[in-house]
Amino acid sequence: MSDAGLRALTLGLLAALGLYCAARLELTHSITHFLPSEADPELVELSIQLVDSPLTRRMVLAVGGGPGRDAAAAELGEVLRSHSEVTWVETGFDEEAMRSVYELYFDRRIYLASDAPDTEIPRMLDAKHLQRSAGRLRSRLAQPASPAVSRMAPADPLGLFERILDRIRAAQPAISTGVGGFASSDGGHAIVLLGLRSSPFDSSRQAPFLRDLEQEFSRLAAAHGGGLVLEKSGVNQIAVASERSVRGDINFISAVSIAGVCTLFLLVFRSLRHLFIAILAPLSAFAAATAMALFTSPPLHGITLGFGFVLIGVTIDYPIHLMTHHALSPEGTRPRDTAARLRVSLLLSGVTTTLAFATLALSDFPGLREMGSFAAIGVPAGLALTTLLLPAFLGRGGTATPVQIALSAGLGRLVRWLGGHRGLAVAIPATCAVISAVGVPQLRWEDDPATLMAADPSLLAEHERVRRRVVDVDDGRFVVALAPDAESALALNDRIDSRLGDAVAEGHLGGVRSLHSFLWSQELQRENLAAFRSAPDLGGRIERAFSARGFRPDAFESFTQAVASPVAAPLRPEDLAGSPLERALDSMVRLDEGWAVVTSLREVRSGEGVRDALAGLEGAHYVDQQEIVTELYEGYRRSTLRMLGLASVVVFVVLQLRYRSLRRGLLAFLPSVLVALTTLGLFGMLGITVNVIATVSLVVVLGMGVDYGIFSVDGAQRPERLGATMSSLLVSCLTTIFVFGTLALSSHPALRAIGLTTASGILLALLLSPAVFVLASRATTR
Amino acid sequence: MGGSLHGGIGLAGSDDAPGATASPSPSAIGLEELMGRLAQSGGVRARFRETKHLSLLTAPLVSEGTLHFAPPDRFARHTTHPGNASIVVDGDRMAMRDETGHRVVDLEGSRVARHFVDNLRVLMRGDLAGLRSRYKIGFHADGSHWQLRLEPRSRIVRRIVEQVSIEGRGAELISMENLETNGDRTTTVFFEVETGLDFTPTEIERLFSLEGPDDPQ
Repeated sequence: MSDAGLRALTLGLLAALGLYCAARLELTHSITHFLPSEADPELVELSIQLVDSPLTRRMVLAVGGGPGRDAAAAELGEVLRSHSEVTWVETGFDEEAMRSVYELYFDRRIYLASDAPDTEIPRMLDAKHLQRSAGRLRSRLAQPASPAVSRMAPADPLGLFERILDRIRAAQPAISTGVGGFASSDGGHAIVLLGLRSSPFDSSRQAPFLRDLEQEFSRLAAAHGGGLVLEKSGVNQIAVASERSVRGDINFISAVSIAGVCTLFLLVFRSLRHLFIAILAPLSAFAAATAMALFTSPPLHGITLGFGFVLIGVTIDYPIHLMTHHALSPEGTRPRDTAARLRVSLLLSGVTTTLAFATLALSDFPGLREMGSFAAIGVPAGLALTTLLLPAFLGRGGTATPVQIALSAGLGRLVRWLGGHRGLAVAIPATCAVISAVGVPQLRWEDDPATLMAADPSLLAEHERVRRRVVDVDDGRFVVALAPDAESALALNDRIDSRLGDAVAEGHLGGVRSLHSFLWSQELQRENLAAFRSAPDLGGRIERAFSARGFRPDAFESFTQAVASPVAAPLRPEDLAGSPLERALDSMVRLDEGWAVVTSLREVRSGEGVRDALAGLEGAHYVDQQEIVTELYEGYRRSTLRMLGLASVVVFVVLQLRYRSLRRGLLAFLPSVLVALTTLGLFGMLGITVNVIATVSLVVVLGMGVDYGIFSVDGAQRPERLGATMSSLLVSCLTTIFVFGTLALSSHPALRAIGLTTASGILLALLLSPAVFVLASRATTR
Repeated sequence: MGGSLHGGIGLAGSDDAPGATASPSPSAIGLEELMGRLAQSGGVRARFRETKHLSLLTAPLVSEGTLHFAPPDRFARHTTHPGNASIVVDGDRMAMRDETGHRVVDLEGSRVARHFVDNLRVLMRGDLAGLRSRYKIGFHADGSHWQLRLEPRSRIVRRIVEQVSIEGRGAELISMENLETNGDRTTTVFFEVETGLDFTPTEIERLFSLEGPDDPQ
């Protein structure tokens, strides 16, 4: 094919890939990408499913700031009710809701009397306790609300319905206020609770919804005279803000990187055409990797996309080497001849880099696997374009610019000078080794997964403020009842609630918020009925005790009739559906296999104490998400370091196979492994904490650093090309620094870790290259 | 018996709601004027004796205690016999405390609860609009004797309460009777009444606090 045809083919392929990516681009920012997928599958699977469950598909809105807040909150709730993204809205617990609660529970009061029916109900029915109940009822009748009491008392002399109401009241997320709406516990804010139709991590739906919410509130606030303030708590707004932050970073980094690289190219090559040619390789790498990721497993994680910029730093090296060597080649050299001369070095470089990245595919992180696959697709794509298609874009050789000539000459002189001072050439890697030996033991590892995500501190503070006003439970710490079916899960939850009650009494935690306040297993409910029925002479006992306190002898016959022939069946989950208490069912989650009932915990003082309280209850788990994920991330960091070792071995073996010389293979290998260790050593000495992403970035350093070793060792075989080799390495390094330097400025901790680690590593690789060249020249001479 | 909750009000027949009885008198004042004077009466302290005739009980249930009112929105009823119990209303929140415990509830959210505990507060602050929004009002005056008859507007309250009658003689408010749909009846009489009181902040805190005895202050 002619050069023109190859150029058209190249541009056509890129355009097609670009269009495909633009049409299919779907981003996610879910933390689930950073949850491990293999270890401890039951709890991890549970964690993943709970991250996107009805428990997270909700928001709490707090309206404060003025007397119009209650009305504004009520109106906001009404408006949101009709929004397509909103499945339910609760603004208060009105009289109709109370009526529904009465209808749900009054006829089932006998089923829901006691957590421990075998012991408590017989005690409730002994003469002493019955007389106390009679006295309490008489006291209630003396109060102004006696008309309501006297109507329920004949059917409920023991106050069983009141016990149920007390449990429900204690579990309400907010108190009720003067207009029948929810209010914060301090009374200063009107509260609106709402459910989301989509995943809170689906920014394409959550961002417009949050915008609509703000607009609607602004309109209502103005209508109520202004001065009102809306504060929100919800996973969705944190996820949207994080994604916005990542997008903003990516835009900023792209702009600065492109500007820096453009300036460098204009300075060195004095040609926009060369810049255009050089960019084709990373473009093809990025487009091919993105297209493949979108084709095989959409959506693409924001961090993976950020990692795509790493590819720019890797693959732009290939055309830089090609163009620099070609420009500095003898006049009239055909580009295909230059490419052919560099092909072995470029292929070796590409293969080692791809293999280093491919080790990431062995990670337990779905997100890291995606990164590994992304790189393993992109690097060969960029390399193939450079060696097969880019020569068609280049003219004849020997057209070096004055800057290239000066760089080549200057660097050549520098390396030759270093060749005359071999002790210094040895001292450079030796210094790196010393830094590694001193710094690595001082390293501080950071395994908290939250530190990988860039959440706006003010947003987190708002989230926490609102949550504390309404829901006084701990984030990320809960107890789960896991069982194969719903009834078994509820039965286990009954037992868990009892055990947690003991843990509260022992001071291990402050309290719980459980579905048990609303719903018990059928088994426990039937045990309650059986306990009442087994009481001998129930009617007579009640009559005697209550008559003694002035009640008519036949006043409570309807209660004994209700025990003998209940008018309702035990309460089931489906009975709560559609009722004002429907939201309680959100804590009952259907999993892929079985059911989970989640109990939220308040003020956990001793996780061990809670675990001990659950001992022996099969299927009951105390989950501290941060503790679990931190432990697992630590494991993954260690695993990634092992992969780094594996990648080193693979790269070393490939280099030995290529050079068939232990010394030259070792020298080519030196910039990669030594640079990785020195980078860690520097971090240790400077007190920079290292997280799992930084560890992964070391794999990138390994993959890129080996290129410097390969080009230096290969360059040593052709001393006349010394200047071209060193100047191409310098331009490659500066390009990488521009790209990764800006990543280090990112507000996203994961991107920042990638940038800082990789930029430091590549700079060290450049510093090591002259020493490798000198030491390899000696080996070649020998 | 023998005291009045508000003194110094000259009363005569008046007509408030459609269907209400009216007994005009040359010296009569209207309902609006009565409520206006009540609104200006300041803080109130009174003792009460309440008798409940309940179908559940074989004998009437009698209780005694003290009422306090601090305009415009604070009302407290402290029962001292047969046991100790309190109901405190502040704005739209109500706290109840008896031997079974302490509880704060929302009044606006429950028209039934409001009816049972809030009639006197509305009357004492002279809130005619509030009274009209909840009841059809019958106002009858005959010589020195007058009667206010209240019929709940709320369908839910009407299921339980048939009517409330408040009686007075001359300028004196003497008793209140609550008649229920099931025949139960509660009569309250007031005595040792003090009006025009200005409660100190300490007294306000002591008499009208919504916090329970064990709640953090």
